[in-house]
Amino acid sequence: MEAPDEELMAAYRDGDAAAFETLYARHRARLYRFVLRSVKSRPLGEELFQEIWLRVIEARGRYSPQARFTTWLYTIAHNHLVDHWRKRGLTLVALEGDEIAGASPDPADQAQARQSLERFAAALQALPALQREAFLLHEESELSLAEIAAATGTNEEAAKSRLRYAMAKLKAAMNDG
Amino acid sequence: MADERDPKLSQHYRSLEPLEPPAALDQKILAAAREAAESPHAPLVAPGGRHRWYYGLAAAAVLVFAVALTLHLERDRPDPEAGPPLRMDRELRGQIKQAPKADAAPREAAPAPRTPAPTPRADEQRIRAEQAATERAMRSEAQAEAAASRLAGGSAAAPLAAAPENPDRWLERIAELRSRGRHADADRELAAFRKAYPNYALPEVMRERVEGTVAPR
Repeated sequence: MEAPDEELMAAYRDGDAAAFETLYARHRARLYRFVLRSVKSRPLGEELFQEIWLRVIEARGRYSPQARFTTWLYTIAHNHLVDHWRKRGLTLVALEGDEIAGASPDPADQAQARQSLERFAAALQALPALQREAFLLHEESELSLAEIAAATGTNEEAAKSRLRYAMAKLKAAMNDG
Repeated sequence: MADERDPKLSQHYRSLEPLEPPAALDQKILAAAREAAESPHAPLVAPGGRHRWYYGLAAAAVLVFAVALTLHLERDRPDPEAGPPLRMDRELRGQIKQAPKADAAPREAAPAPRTPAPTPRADEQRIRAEQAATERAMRSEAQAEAAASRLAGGSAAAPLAAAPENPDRWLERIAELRSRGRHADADRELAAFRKAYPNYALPEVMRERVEGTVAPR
């Protein structure tokens, strides 16, 4: 039976480097996709991905096994992304509305988005940041709504609302063809 | 959460470009994790070179402050070795007060009128004044003794550094002159003695012997 994440993180906190390797192997791809699809830039996404893991390493002494590791990991990721956006003068407003946060989809992308998948990808990129984050967390981290709310510093209703808005827009983009 | 999940939507999402972190990135992160595990308390971001000079500067500042403070304290502190002699001198002056002639130096050194709660600073000043007066008194006594010695012994060329005649011996010699009937010499020596030792408290018996007031036996 595989050791749970919490046990591995506690072992790493106590100096077991191998425990971290196991933990990293379990979460690296999902966290990587979550970050890259949040920032739309591969170099920047990779930089942020590395920084998030370094934060995990630095914060290992404060990890408490009572908290679910996945929630803790994505809380760190969320906070780091928020820091990144703040540094760039961007805010995460217009969370529940239909406004598009960030750049609009490139017209060239729209022209190419003839196929369902491409439209889906474009719609995902066009989502407001926190709606996209809610959807990515839902898909990648397999967190519950309560856990998504905890990781993103909001309440469950707000998290649910963001997720529903995101899913509605993505469905519309899929069926548009 | 099951009610929120849309299988078709999830399938579309899974069909997007598969993204995986490159191996080099994996290695960087794992290396950082291993390094941190080996030195549990070392920060991942070590203090940068531009911050290191703070440590040297802080150490130098502390050192300079400590030296300055020590010098300041040394300069203001009374010489601890001056304490006991000073007290001895004050005791001696207590005896001298009964001498027939007034002593200017000890009076000058008399402490200022006491305040209800003298401050350490006032004490310090009083001690310094007493010390200076004592030094002056000692100087004048030494000079007087040397002069008296020259007069009595006729060794006019004797340097001041020569040991002055002991007052007790001097008095004994005056008493001897008096007993031999050399009253003029005795009077001259006694005057010289009183000039040299204006504060010397003559015991009653000795006073009678040197002044010639003792009843003939």
